[in-house]
Amino acid sequence: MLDGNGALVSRAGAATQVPLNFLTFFMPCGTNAPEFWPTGEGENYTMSRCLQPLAHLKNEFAILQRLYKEEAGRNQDIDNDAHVRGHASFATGGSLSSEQAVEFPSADQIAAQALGGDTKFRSLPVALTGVRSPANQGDHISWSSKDTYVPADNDPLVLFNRVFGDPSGIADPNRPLAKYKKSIFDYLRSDITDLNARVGTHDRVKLDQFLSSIRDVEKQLEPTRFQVSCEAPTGIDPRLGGPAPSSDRGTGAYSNERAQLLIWLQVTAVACGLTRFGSFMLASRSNKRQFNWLGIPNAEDGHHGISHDTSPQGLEQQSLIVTDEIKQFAYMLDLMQGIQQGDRSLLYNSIVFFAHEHGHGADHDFSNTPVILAGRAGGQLKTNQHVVFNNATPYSNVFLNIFGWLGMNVASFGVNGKNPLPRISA
Amino acid sequence: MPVLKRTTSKATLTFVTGLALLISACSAKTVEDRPTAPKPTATTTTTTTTVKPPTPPGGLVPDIDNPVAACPTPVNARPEYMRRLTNDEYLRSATDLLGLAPADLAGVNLVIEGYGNDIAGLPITNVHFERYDITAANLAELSLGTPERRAALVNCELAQSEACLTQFIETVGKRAFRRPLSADRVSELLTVARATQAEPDPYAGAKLALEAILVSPRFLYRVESKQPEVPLAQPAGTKPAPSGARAVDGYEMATRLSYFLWGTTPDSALLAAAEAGQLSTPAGLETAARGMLTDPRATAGVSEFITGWLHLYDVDTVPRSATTYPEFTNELRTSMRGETERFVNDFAWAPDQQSLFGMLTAQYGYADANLTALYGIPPAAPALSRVDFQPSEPRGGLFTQAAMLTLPIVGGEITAPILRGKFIRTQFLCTPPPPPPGNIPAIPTDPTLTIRERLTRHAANPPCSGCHQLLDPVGLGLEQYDLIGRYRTTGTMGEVLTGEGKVVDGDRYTAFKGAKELGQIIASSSDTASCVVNHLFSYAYGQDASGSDSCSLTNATSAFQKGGYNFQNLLLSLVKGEEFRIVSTQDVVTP
Repeated sequence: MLDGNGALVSRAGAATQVPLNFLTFFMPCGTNAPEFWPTGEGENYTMSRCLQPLAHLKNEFAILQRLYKEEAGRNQDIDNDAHVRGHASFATGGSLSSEQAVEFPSADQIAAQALGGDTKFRSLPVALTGVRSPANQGDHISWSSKDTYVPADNDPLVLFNRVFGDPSGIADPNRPLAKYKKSIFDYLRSDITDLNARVGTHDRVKLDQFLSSIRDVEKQLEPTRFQVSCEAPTGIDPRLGGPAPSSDRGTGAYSNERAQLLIWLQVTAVACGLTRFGSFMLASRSNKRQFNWLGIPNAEDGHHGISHDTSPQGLEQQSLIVTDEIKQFAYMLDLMQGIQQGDRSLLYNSIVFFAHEHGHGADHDFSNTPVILAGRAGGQLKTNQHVVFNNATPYSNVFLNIFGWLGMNVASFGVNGKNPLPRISA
Repeated sequence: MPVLKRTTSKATLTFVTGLALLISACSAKTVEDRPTAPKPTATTTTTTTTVKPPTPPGGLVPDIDNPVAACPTPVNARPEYMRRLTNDEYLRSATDLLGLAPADLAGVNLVIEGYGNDIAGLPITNVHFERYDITAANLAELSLGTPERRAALVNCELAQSEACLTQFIETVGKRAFRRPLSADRVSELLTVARATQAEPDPYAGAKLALEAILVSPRFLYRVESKQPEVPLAQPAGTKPAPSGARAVDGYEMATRLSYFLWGTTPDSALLAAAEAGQLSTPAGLETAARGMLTDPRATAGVSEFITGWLHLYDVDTVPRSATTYPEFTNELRTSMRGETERFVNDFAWAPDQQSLFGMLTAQYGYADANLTALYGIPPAAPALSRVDFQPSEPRGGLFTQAAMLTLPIVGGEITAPILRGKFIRTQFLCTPPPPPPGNIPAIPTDPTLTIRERLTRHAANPPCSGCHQLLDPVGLGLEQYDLIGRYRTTGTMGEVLTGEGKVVDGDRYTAFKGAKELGQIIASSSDTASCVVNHLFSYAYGQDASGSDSCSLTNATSAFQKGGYNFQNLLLSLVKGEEFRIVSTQDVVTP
């Protein structure tokens, strides 16, 4: 909701001055449920083993239990692999709709479509890992339409240049023709208008996407249009650059250092006003992420194999891994909390939606999919609580809360998201 | 390339003999101790008339043993799609179009996507467009940067006249868009060029116009439309298309040929052949295609297909524990992939009547120092070179090669037979089992049992057997090769490995021992020929075949069989098939 001055107003009436950011954060292969969930409900809960890295940030998030991601069970005839559906249903409210497509766009992209037009990047999907061959819905978490995934940046060097450099070449004296790009884009629009009349309906969708891509890139031709509210960093460690491979051979391609660099770049881009929306995929189940720094020997199937190992050793390893990954999420929140925005922090003015693809890893348990809502949503999210729902509460409902906090009028989300969740609004 | 990785009720291909009924449900039967039933022979006499099955909608029941000479109308005209170039196609097309060398494009940074040319998997998002835009600017700068390069693109002096600039736009534009530009496009590109008038660089206009051409959807996509801007009339006597479809025009045919056989954009000669009507007759088309197959560019085209079909890209990424397999270095991966690529190429390019399936049984391979060490054979040359195997050696044929033994497996010893079995069934027989049900538990550990015993027990378990009796016995036949393809005679518990396996087909099975015998079985299975055809068809059209393609696929398989399973002939017969010639005029609403 907007007040008379166009500022966002929460249900409680507290006006926020700054446009809110909305980011998603994804982890694959579930948890070791007994060591993941906190004990105690409400405000006075005891942090679990796996959540220890978040303990000092207890005031900055709410942890939600017993949310049922029913939609992940849909369309098993398209792909019986629960993981593909677990990934597809992370933030889309639905499952697969065909071999390559999902059922709905993802929440971060819905918000970006509605509200992302004023920033240099409509959104900034980032991933630690590369895309497999052949790719499918298990490789992407951001979807701008049911058929179109949004590629995630996974190369810190490329991301750095994209966000802080000048990829359009406008300011580069070695690229004197960059300033005439608009002529090219005008040509393209005319070209596409002609083509549009000649191709089939399904291909007009492609041309439409092409046009909106041109619009998005065209925005970058006007660097002074966007108020950049901080100094750009000078560079990154080149050792951590390069494209990410599609699976982990245990050689460090998916190191936490690299993950943190990518997180840092994404958060800095948000802090500097270059985008308000994004997603972060720590890994997909197929990347077979290895964790030899935890003393876990490289396994043939990486994290996925371990998450299905129900021996005491396997469960212990799963707990170690989940804790380590939560640490990276804590890194992101710490970073955001440390960035001042007026008399608040970036974290205060943001909503970070964190989820695993499912609950207890060995069971692909969608009935208890972990969700952590971090940030204060400008004061609208009631943090510092462990909320336990009832296994029938739709996971997708939480996106309606988020859209509401962003000031968007969204009546339903996906297949099951019909009502905002109770108890989490401030 | 889309992989036929699952069979659902709607996509079941009825031309696959025998297994169709089994695929629809995981039954509880096991195949232990089931005798091999003899195939009915032609000499069986009977006084009853043969009952013909009712004609299903869409045409006759395809029967590989009795192919129909021509498919009934309406032949499945494939829908009309804009097909985005894959990254490899983009690089080759740009290189060929602009007279560059592959090394010139080394720094190009396109969005990295998974391998394959599935239409649905190739979008253009703003991230893609950003990269195309930067790349186009760089390529334009490079290819117009020296007098030699400019002269290769146009034979007048660009700095001196707009007439030359116009000629440049028309010439390069025609090759980029794979048909002539309309006066409107040329005029608009001239407008683009003129925007740079104030620039000191006299070639700035040409560079900017070229950049525009390279980011146009007419370059980035292969466009087929019933009303192209600059149509090419069909020559008189062109065979008409069935109703609801049209024959592709000469430019579209040139484009189809070029990307199918060369993996790159059509050159001037091919466009000229189109204009002369040479691609619109069966004889002309065949002549052109044969000529193209003798061109060096065909190597890339065929490689694209083979890499996708055999998942050779997976050799680069499949994980192995460095502690258990310290030999599995990047260099070994490269050697493995190199061996199989080179070997398969020998058979893909074999002359007329020589079978592709020789690769399943041939008694030679290629090895370098890494591979001779892995295979435990005497060192030969340091670089990949031919090695002949004795009949007594455990090498000889595709299924004995390290790449094929390695790449399907993730998850260790217990999964190896399952995944190897799945790979062979999917890529060679097109008879994979249905996908696993959700929430399957891991195969129970039992330190007292061998891998074979554990899997056999598991496959006998009723909920599991329907699928696992299809998979595990195939992969168990390969147990004598470890997870990086080394030969071994004893297993993880010291047990003797026999390599006994079975290929189950409906209620029959064929027993074998070891990878070489498996090669022989696959080479002589009628499912294999139709499976290769199926994979090639998917590659050609960027989509899996559907039920309505079954008649044409049967015909192509029959021709493949009659041509001695020669791969070159198969390429030609696909080119000469009706689908290649026509396209639907019906609007497709959903992608």
